Amino acid sequence: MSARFSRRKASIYTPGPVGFALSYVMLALWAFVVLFPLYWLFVTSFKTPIEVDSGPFYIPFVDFQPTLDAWQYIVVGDLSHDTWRNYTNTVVVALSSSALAIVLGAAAAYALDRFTYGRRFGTILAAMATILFMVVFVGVGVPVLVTVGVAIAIFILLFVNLARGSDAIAFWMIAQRMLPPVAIVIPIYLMFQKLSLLDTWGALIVTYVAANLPIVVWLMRDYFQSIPRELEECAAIDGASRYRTFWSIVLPLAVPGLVATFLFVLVFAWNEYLLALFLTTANAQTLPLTIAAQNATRGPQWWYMSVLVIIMIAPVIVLAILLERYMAKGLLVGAVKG
Amino acid sequence: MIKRNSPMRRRERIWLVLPLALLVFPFLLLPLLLGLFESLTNYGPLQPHPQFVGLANYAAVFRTPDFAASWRNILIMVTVAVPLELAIGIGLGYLLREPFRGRAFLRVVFLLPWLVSPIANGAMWHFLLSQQVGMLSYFAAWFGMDFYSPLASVTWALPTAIATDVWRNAPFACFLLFPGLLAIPPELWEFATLEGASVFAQIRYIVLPWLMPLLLAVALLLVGSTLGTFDDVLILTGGGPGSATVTPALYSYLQAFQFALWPAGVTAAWLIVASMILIALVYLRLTRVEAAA
Repeated sequence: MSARFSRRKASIYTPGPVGFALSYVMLALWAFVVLFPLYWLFVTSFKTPIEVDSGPFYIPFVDFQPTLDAWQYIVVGDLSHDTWRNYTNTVVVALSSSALAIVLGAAAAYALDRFTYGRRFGTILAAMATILFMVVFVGVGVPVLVTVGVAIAIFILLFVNLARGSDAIAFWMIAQRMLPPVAIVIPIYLMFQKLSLLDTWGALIVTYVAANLPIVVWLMRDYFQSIPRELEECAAIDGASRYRTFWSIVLPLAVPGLVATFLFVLVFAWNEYLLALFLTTANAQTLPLTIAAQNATRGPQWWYMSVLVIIMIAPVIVLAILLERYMAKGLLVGAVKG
Repeated sequence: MIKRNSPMRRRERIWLVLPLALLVFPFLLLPLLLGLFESLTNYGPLQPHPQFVGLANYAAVFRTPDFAASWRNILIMVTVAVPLELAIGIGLGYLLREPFRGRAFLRVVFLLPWLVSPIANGAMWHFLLSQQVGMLSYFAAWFGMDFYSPLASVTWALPTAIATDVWRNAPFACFLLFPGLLAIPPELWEFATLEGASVFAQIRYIVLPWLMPLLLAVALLLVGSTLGTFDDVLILTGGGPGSATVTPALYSYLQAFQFALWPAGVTAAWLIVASMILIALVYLRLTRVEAAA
């Protein structure tokens, strides 16, 4: 009886022995589903073409003699120049764009959460967007009457939404994050062409920061909401300055959210394909392009492909392991509390 | 006593939000609007003087059979993949809720598929499922069965594409839902244990109500990413066989860049955007209902 009512955490969940065994079996099963494909890539990267073609060999040294041929070709041999150039590009672009998105996005999210922007702010934004619309429409030869009609409709739509405050901000952030890159890639391409910035780090970084900002704002705004304002008010009563309060109270509490959001946007930037395909031609190409090119031009050379996939995901895995301890609290915690 | 807005001055607020506006307006909103406008003209890379054509592009796109197929496919994908991903996410979170040795390790292991890029995911499954050297063909050989790659089958290509999507995104759902599960107050579990509630009853009456707002948010992210499915299918099947796995994003890409039908590509892309805006509106409506309840 006493065990049943004990307050120890472990006991309250405890299922029967059958349930216990069952949950381990299910966890093991899913771990197998997750790990086997990756393991298969791993061993394939140490095989010769003949071994890949002539049947399943599972365990290196037992089933087959591993070779470093594929690794040699990709990492130090013929393809190494391309590999390392694209690798450097991916690291630079992904890290800097994610860091920038986090800093700028979190700042905006904090401001948007802690301070309500009045009706006037919404009106200015709506007017700006509407004017943008009209310039674009008229500039490309849409009849003026149609333009004015569309502009009025847009203004009303934006105004109604923006003036409603925080919900509206959430809406725009969500809607924009879910944009397929296909919808924006050509205008962005033309823009960077005009600026002569194609095939540079700058073009990719700016694009990725812009693409990631909405989601950072959405996630971090939610996270800041979960940090009690009373803490800041207490600090203010104790005479701490605004910045002091932010640096020593809000920021430390926000670290788990920042870390998880960082991983979120980093994975996007690290893996993004379509925008990189258009904005780069050679010098600033990233790893997803290497993989796609390997697949397209050389056909099914799975041993090379395996090496590329492994070196591409390895750093992200290391990062996830390092960051794991900070992410226990999780994102969208505000959403849990409603 | 303390006014909420007082410590931060107007100028500071504007400085904090300005970078957001400066980046999002020109590089996200403007391209989007340009796309909308282009979908109403015969604009194209080779068309120096585009003319306004009204809704002609939309009419043309709606008439192509591949377009209908792409939306049929994506509707199936979303309705099958997203609930499945949420269910796996909740299930894994439920199994992991009790601390045990190696839990942190398993948590990272379960996150791995999401770290694989869509492109690499497509390439990897293309390999694992290939006719000659794929893993599945070896499994089939064990049982003495003939193996035909599901990627070459009109019936099985779409379920396979969905399965690879689930493989990559279910871990993401788990990653986001797990902390929510941990935040469920111990009293509720205790109550369930005392009542002798079954696993399903626990999930139905404790987990789901508690997680609902988070579940909605995660569902929204998953629906968004599934609607935009592009790179993995591009490498996995290229949309084939026939149009069995074409998605709207892939359709738009192929129209614009393979067939050089630029207006059709932009129009199709804008229809995806419109559907996303609709979904975001529905989401906000649902969260408001949830908050009111």
